Amino acid sequence: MLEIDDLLESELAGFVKKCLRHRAPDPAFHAIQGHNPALSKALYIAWGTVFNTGAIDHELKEIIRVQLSRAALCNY
Amino acid sequence: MRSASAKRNGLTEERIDEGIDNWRDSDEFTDAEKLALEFSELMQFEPEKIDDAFYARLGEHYSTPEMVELGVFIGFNVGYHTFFRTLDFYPMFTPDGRLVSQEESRRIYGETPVSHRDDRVVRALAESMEDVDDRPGR
Amino acid sequence: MIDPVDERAGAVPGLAETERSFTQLSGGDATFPRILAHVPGYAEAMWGAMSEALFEGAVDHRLKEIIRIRLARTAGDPYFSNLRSTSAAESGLNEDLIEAGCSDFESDPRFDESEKWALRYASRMYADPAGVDSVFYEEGKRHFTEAQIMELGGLIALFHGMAVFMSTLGNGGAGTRAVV
Repeated sequence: MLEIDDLLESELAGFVKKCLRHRAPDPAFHAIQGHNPALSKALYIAWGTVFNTGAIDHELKEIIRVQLSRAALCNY
Repeated sequence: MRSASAKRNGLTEERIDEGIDNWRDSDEFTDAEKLALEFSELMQFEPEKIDDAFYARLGEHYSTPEMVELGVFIGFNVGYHTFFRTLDFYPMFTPDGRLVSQEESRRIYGETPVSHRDDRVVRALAESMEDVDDRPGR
Repeated sequence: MIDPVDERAGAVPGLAETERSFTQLSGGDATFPRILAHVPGYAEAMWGAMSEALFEGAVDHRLKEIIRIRLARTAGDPYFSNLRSTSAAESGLNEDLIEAGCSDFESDPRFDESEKWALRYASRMYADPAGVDSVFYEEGKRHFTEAQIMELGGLIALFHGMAVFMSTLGNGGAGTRAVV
């Protein structure tokens, strides 16, 4: 897992600064995938698109997200 | 981890728990929302049961774009949460927004994901905040 | 049932370019991006991540292609199971090797230990995730860097998730199976 300082020196710095400023989303997403900045960036864009855009109520998506994370025993 | 914007819009941990543990019998969710939660559970555990008949039921409440949106969102999560589980890592932020080490995060959130209302999580978070307050110079 | 968008690609912003990129895998079929295109931006964003995971990075693309097909078969998705990467074929990946990677690869001498670990990673992730633990990852680090392991993991997560979704559309339905 990368440290925040390493991430702030990387291509993902912009995303990570935003995470730190708004206290969301959690930067561990980048810390764990930041070894591959291009893939991490593409994944983050994909995630942001499916989670934050569209017509479905965001709160419903959040319940679904937590439901699936618990079902998978994902601690993140 | 929790969505900050969902929280700002009033989504509580109680409602999250209700949506996960009790949606079938709950009065708090509409039929459309319950169907979305069923879609999610099925995709995770029994995707073979999502057939034409299920999509027809979904279609009574959701448009085609909304069904695609839900399907892709759920599929993404089905793929990713299992992968992330194997990596055994934790949020860097506590529920109250502090940046903490992975060790501290594990201590707060616990070995398995539970509600943030769980007594163990509430206690661990309180202890973590006491440790911050007890640091020299505070 | 969900049908692909019934519009010319040019009418949906970004879709034409996404479809062009998708032909690396589909040889012309555009069902997947056209299904996602029902939601603005979804086809571009999802295929952007999927293509980055599959076609870019340091892990051998042919190995990733075998893994992709294996995942689709395990998920019961005929669509992604039947698609083939043009560049993997041009690099020598044939159906015989794909079959080998999708079946008993452990005893197949055509795969070296690093490839066997990667195939094991894909086969265990959803069948036995508890078996993908720190010991498993330590073994992986004997063959791959952390970056390569995360590249493989990201590929597996993305393609498994989308294969599961596509499998639900293929259940007894028409119009969502690739024409090979």
